[in-house]
Amino acid sequence: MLEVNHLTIKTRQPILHDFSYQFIPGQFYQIAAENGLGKTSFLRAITNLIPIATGKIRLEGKPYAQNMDKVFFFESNDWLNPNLNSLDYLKFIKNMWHSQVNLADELAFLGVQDYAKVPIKKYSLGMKQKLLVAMYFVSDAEYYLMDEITNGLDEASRRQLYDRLAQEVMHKNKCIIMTSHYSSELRMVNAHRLVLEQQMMREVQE
Amino acid sequence: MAYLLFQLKKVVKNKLTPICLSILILILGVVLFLNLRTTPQFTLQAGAQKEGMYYQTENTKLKQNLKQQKKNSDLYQETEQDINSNQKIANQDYQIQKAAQAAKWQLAYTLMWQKKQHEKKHLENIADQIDPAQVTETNNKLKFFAYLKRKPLAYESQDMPVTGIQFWLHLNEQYLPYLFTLVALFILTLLLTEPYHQKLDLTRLNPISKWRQALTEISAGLILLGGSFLVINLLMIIAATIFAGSGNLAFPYLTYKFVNGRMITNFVASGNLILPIIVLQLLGLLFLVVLVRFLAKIFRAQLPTLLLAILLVLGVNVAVIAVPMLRKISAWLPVTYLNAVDTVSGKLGMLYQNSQLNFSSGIIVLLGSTVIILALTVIVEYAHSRA
Repeated sequence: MLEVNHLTIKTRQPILHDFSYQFIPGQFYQIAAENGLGKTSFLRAITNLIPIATGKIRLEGKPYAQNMDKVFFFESNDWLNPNLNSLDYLKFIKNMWHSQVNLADELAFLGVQDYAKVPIKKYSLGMKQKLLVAMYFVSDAEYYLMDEITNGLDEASRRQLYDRLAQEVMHKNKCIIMTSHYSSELRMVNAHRLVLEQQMMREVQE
Repeated sequence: MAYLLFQLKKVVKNKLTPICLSILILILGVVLFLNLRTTPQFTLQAGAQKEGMYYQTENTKLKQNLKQQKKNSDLYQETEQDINSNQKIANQDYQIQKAAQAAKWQLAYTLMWQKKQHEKKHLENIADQIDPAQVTETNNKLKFFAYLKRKPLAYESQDMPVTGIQFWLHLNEQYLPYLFTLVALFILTLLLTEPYHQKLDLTRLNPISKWRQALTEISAGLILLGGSFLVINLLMIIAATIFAGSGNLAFPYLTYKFVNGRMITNFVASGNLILPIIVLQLLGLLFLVVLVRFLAKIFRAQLPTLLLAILLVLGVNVAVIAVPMLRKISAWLPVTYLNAVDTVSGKLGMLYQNSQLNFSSGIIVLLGSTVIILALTVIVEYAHSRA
């Protein structure tokens, strides 16, 4: 369980104030907010990329630093090194996260195998985004923190992604926290919807 | 291992890395080409021939002067003495030339040594009229030929070195300490600033401990620098060996040493210098890795890291040459030891007139600075995590 207690995040301006919540494995969470309100900062704070002002974040009862292999977070395709290729990233992630998944299956899932050995600098936005998706599934981590992962994906790939995420939640007991611009974007049944506005995050019923 | 490989791939697959290394190899290749082209003018034969011709020309002029002088005058007798003396030298040069051509090195070096001995005596007689550097130069040549008289090895030019070992020493003395350092700083900046995006340290997402992370980063840096340095040096040694032979490890190399505050010169076998040079170079590379890593942790961006690394390493190195005050503390500056050849040979100590500049102080200062910078890096990382 990912437990957030009285979390306050401040960067240049206040982002989040006194947020407490429990993200439970086997559940899907969607965090919706307008641009620039702090969805990404929230994910960065969970993964220690930015400091928190107050509060506590515990992953399975321990600080994130002691349970890093249980979480996978790769914010955006801007983080990808343009000189490497998909295979470089996927092999690296499989090793680092001690994943047992079949690399060939994951490469085939969204068709990454077609350009697996091509340098990332030659990819279109959609190709990079598909690689990003593959990286999550290859990590096979227990918690996926996904930041607007569907950006740049075509309709068919989005549908495929949501189906797969539903399976991961149901059959593999994953906890998926996904941010998006609009709450309407998400097509998952039984998803928890959280809305971030005016530095407050709360769960809303559909 | 997977992380180390991933780190290495990031730099190796960046086209700028092979481009930089190729340019460096090309420059060194040009140096070899130019040395090969000019080296025939710097052989023992060529030197003796040039000198012999000079004295013959002088004698022709003196003989013409002689015709205009009165037979019993002092000037006439002095000119005659000069002609005889010049002829003697020219004959000696001819013998040296012949001996060198026939590869009779023992004879050639004995003749050269005798010549330098004579030259020394002459300089001692007119010591108050000449530059002391000229005396030092002659003394060094005397020691050089005394060494070769004992060990008559085939002559290898040290003015324009082309044989494998001498060329390697030449490159590592004149070019690589600056050119390779520049390339090394660039490669290290590529490697160690790559995980920073919008000043965020993405390595924090990797599920490994901070110590393993640090060890991997330093190992990757060392492998990249060590590997490129080795490849460049091997390529140059092989190229020089193909064109001019490998040379002899026992061939003499000039070294300097402070004894009771006085500078003493000596010639030792070039091969004796190789191991200490490599040890110092390895420590120098390690120092560069930890320094750039430290700067990357502070700035978290490519350009400021590269700029400051260049200023701190090459800038300070140049400043030590230009600012006399810095020379006094140069033994405590790790960047001074980037020129491992001159450090080990003692030439750096002689140039900066600093008796503390030697191989032992190089080891201590480079190791000490590496440890200090590593400790500072830990403090910076801690400060970032607390910020």
